[in-house]
Amino acid sequence: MSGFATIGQTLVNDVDHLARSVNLWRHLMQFIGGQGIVIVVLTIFASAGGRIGYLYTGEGREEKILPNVIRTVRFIWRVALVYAVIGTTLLWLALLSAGMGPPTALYHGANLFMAAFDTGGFATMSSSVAFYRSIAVELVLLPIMTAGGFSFALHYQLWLGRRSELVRNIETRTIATSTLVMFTIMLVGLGRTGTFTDFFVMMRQGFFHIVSAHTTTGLATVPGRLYVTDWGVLAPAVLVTAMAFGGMAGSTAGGIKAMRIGLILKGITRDVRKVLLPEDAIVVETFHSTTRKVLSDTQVRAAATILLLWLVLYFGGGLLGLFYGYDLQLALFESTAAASSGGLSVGLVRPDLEWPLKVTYVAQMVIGRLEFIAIFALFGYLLAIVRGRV
Amino acid sequence: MSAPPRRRPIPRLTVAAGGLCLLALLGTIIAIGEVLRHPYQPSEIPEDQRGGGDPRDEITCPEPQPREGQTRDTTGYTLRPIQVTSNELYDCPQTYDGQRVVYVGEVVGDLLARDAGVWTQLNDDVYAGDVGPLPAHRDYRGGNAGVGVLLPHELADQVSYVGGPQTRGDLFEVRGVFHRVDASGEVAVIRADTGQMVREGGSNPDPPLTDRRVAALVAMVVAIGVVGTERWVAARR
Repeated sequence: MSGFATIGQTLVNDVDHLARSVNLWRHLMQFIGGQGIVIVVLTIFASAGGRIGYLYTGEGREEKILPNVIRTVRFIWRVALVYAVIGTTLLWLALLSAGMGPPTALYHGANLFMAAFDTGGFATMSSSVAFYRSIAVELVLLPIMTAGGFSFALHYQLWLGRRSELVRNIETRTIATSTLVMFTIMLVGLGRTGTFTDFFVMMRQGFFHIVSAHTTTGLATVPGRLYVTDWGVLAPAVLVTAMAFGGMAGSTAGGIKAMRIGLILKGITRDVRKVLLPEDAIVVETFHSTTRKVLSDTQVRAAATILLLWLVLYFGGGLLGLFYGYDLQLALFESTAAASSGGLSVGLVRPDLEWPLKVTYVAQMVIGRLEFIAIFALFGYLLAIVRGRV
Repeated sequence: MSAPPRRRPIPRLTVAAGGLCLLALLGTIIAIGEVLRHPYQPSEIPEDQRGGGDPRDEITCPEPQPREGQTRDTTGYTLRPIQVTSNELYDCPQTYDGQRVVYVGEVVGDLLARDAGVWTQLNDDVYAGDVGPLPAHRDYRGGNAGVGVLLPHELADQVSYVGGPQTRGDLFEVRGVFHRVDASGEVAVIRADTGQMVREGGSNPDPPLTDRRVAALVAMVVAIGVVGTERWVAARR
């Protein structure tokens, strides 16, 4: 489930001695699941039409990439394969420079690419990206993770040469802003605790983790235990927030999604303007997502509803973690990582984790990955079948 | 234009039969997986050797936790290196920062040669100990635990086996300084200056099971058959 849902948390007992075939399969699950989930969601939207479409508006999934699902699927896989060739080659070169042999570097490069582009977060080695001790590998991973956090609708616009979409799109703006804000807060947090005294090292470690968390990839360059014992309180809190926010709607990333955050912020701005302006003033708020659109109350309400459901999901898993005696920081971190497909871990998810927590995290992965509406629709469908009404 | 005919509800019996078929399929897959596993037995080594610490355990660090740039109280410190585990280093990184340590672990993954030395990972989890790596037994005792170590070139030259699939890595004892944040920007690493091999590794002698290869071949033929049939049916429409 963690593989197909591109979560990145693992219960494998001895990753470092795992057969190459099994390890490759773990990463392939992410590659299949990453693109697959986007296709599944788009298919649900396309087949369900208006009713579910309204609810998905809150998720920014009202826009179609191409006129039909088959052409969309072909486009998505074309994009993924082009990135795969370029990304794996660059990672292979970076790993060669890190001191790996060519065949091993290719194997690790392919696995790393699948984990990064599909925002999965599995790693070939138990120590994740830290194993390679290479800034070159980290530099190559940053744009791959970012591309994975982009929606395929945006990829399509870029494919068509509409680069201005990068600047105008509400989601890219929201993500850029939140990344900048959270990165600043993280630097303040790490600086206050004195975790890093070298500013360049702090920037390197902080930025990699922000991108990894925000795109819900989950690749790490430090052992997860250090988030608790050496990173203070503020920096891990920023990581939790970044994972909770997530990437773009219609991407392989999970989380609340930049579209919803953007719509809610636009809604708040509009309401504040309404209060400040004369009573008879007509306030219209717009946003850009492929085309310029007028913000409606329905969209804001749907986004807020889904946001609320996400918060319930995050805190629900956190509460169960508290029940089993874990600290609030650990319980919330791991619950958010499971639900948002963030994948970073402070060590709570491990092979000997209590089974109710395992079940809960798996359920969170499914709900978070398929999003609430798809789950509601699935339950409704099953109920209708049982009642003989389908 | 007439409305499309309303579909008849699926009978409950059909739904139940479909559900049972799905469960049976799942059970069959699990059963086949079990049959195809190596007939290993759990070792007789006590269960208290775990792969990693429980996050609920209270952390008690042996010394105050000075940050870089602050004066460390060296009262009571000795010049003798401290024997540490990876869990201790991660639980109390400030305590051991800059300290000489002795660390024992299995070389795993790869040896990444650079100008300053050779980076590798030394695991001190249960699989590096008497139990051995997982492909060779059925003792599932948690995840991996280890530390990144920068070995001097001459020490890295002594490594004969690097742990990985079907290979148990050499067990090395290294002595060096633990850095919470290394000058190279790496986090929580040991810069070793001396060390020695404690136990030579080796390859797992167990050959792949024949019936696994047969199962893989059958699965491949079935998969090709399913895809081919689906394509053929689609082409006929």
